[in-house]
Amino acid sequence: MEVEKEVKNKVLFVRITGEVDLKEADRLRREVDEIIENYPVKDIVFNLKNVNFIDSSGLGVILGRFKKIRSLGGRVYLASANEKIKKILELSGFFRIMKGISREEEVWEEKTHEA
Amino acid sequence: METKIYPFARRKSNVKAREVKRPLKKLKPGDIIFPVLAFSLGRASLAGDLYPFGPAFLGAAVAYLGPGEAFFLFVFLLLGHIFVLPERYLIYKFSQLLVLFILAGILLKNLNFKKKTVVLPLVVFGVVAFFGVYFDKTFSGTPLDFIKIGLEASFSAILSVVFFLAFPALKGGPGRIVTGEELLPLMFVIGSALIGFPGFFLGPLEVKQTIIHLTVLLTAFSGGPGLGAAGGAVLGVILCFGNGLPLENIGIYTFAGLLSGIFRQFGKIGALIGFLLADVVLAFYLQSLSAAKGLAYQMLVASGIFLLIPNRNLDGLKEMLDSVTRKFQLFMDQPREIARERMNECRELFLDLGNSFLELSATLGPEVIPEFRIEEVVERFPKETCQNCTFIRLCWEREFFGTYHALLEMLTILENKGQLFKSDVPGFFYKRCLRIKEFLNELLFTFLMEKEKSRWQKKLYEEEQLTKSQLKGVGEIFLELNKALDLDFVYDQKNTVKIFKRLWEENLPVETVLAKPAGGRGMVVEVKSARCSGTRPCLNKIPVIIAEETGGEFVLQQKRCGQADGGECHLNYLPMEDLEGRIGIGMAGKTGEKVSGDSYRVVRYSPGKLAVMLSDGMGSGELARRESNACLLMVERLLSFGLSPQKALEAVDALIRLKNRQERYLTLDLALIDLISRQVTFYKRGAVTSFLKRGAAVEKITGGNLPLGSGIELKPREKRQILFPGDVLVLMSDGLLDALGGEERVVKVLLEDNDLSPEILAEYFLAHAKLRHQNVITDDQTVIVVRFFEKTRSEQIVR
Repeated sequence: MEVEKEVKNKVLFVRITGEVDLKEADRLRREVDEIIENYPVKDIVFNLKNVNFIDSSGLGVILGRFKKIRSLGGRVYLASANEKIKKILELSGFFRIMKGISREEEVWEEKTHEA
Repeated sequence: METKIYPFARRKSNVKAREVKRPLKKLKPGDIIFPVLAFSLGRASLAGDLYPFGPAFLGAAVAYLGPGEAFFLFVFLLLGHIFVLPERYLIYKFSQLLVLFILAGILLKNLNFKKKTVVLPLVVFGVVAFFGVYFDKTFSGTPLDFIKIGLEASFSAILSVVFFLAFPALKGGPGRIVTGEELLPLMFVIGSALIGFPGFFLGPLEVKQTIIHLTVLLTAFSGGPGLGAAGGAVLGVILCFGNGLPLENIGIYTFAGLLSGIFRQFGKIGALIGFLLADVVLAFYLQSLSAAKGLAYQMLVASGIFLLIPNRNLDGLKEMLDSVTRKFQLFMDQPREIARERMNECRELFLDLGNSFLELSATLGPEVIPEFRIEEVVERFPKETCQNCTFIRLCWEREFFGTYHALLEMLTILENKGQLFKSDVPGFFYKRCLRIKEFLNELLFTFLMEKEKSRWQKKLYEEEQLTKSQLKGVGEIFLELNKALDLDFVYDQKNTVKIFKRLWEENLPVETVLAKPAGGRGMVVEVKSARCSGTRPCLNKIPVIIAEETGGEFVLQQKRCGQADGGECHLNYLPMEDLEGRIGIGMAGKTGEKVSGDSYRVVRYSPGKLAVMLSDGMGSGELARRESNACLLMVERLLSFGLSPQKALEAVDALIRLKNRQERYLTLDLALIDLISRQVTFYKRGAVTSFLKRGAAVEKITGGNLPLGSGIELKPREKRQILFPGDVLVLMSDGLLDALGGEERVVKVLLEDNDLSPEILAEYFLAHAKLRHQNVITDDQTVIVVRFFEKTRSEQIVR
């Protein structure tokens, strides 16, 4: 699994490539938490375009980050998930608490809309 | 900030206290009965010379009611005496009663009921004898006088105990159950009072005799032949000795009570016929014609009054004395009341604990989310470097704005680039500052300090939020337990008594019966009986009787007979179930793991209710298995306890959150099947789709709820379906669904299924998944298949 992180205007973009399973979940959690602690992050966008597998551990990491960011007053967005991943996220109730977007750029529109 | 631990702060009500007006005291039956009894007993005498009833009643009243309430009766007793005793005796009697009143009040004050029955007669005997010897002017020391005093004192003593035993029933009033031990003393009280009742005639009718007949009739009708005969005998004896009635009246009253009690099963008319038959036969046989004529008038009037008493009141009287109802009410209500009290105490405790934890969680942690702000770094910049610089006033006072702005600029660069060079310093500031190198170092140091401080503040804030969430979880669990304990220990008293009576009447060896509601619909009947001799009434007779009494069809669902149960049979009768489910389960652990991280349970958690559960722990292996198994066990326990499924899942969610530092969540796929109403309800938490096949169609059941342990409050979605015989329900974990190739493939398999047994279908799913991945299992796989069929009566009965 590869993880690319970028902070732009207090939004942390996490671009994941590969499989998010039990082995990789811990690393993903650590890397994202490090950014949240050391940078002024308000919202997170998980870009799942290149994720081909995610299990309960991976879902747990996203859920955990959601709770963390929510406690800091922010939001989590799930971007560009393929149909299979989208189905898993839907069955797990994730879209009831996190916004699904088709592109990263949509987050700015969402934020403008919220403002 | 003040932190309250315990007790929690009570909400203040805005309702102002108003002056409470005391309601007028309601007149109770005892307020009339006791004075009337006291007055009558004051008048009553034996052989016209002995007056044991007054001191006996007064002593008993002081012993049971206390001097405060007994004083009132003291006055009425004296009134009764005034009406019958010559003047010269009044002072003597007054003194006797007064001393008895005071002495009994002192000596019996702190004794328990049993000790009072011992001390009271001694006190009464002592006082009556003492006064008789030393203060009775007619006492002259002859043997006859001693016998007279001795008799009066003895009767007083004996009667005082008898009256004392009657007081609980007298004080209890209508509606109170009268035990056998209280009934005969009660009859003594009534009989003794009747002695003192003034005898007067209404034409040919002697009123006192009429009342006696009516009392015998009421006792027989309410208590049956035994009590009727005993009551008749007691009244007869007392009145014969007290009022000098002919001794044959004892026999007449006793026989009338007996026959009336026997015939009471035919209702009021039956009891009356029995009563009249006995009276008429014996009266004509034992007495003169004129006496018999007088008796006939009294009997007819008493019968008329008896017929006019409303049935409601007679039934109430019957219930008071009915040994069956009494046995059951005492048997059931007392432990029920005790259990209810204890549950209420537990509830209150859980409520207090829950509120304490919630309040603690609310007060914990700062309100404001900590954020790192560059402006704060500027404000906190210590300016150590500038302390001895000649330009300090220029930079920090005259041109403060410029300095501030330059600092902001430099800090922004520092934050973005992570480092700061001389070239990053604004030009005007660089030219002015004499100690630029030290200044930049100090700035960097301050920035890093503040950043680190902010980082730890954030961490602390997160920890406090987690603790808050955990405390809130604990508080919520306690509150759920408080609500869960808001279950009355209910049982269906009416049906319990009806069934018990019928079984008893049918001469079945039943010891106890308990009919209780089962999940808000239907009823469970638990019967405990002695072992039969092979006749098996548990199968042949008892279900029929239960069905006749309740109007529903019941079958024996559970039976325990044997030495282990003390030679008794414990039988559970439940309503007939319409459906039964045949279960097939398949499980395969991830390749390389010793155990699967999935867990399942199929249990009957309540009569007629089946729970089919599947949980997928995070990851795989032993830890995941332990967590998922613990989750299912807890859900089962809470459902069996009586919690609604929603509340059970909330409680489990809160429990998982308590240890969620590791962020471990659990999925749950729960199908609750009501086999009587043929309904299934699905509760999914992060679980994949389930499937319900009916005929040639397969319905997909999805959830869309977060996994357990998330702690995020969302309105959960549940789905309900009606079930039919032949339906097939399939629950599976995400590992299997994925391995099979998705939902459509599962639908295809189900549609192709030609009535395979659930066991084979489950195995088929696993084999198919293995085949598709060259026997490599990439994630734990579990499937539960339930095929429903109609349950016949014979299938439901336990043999």
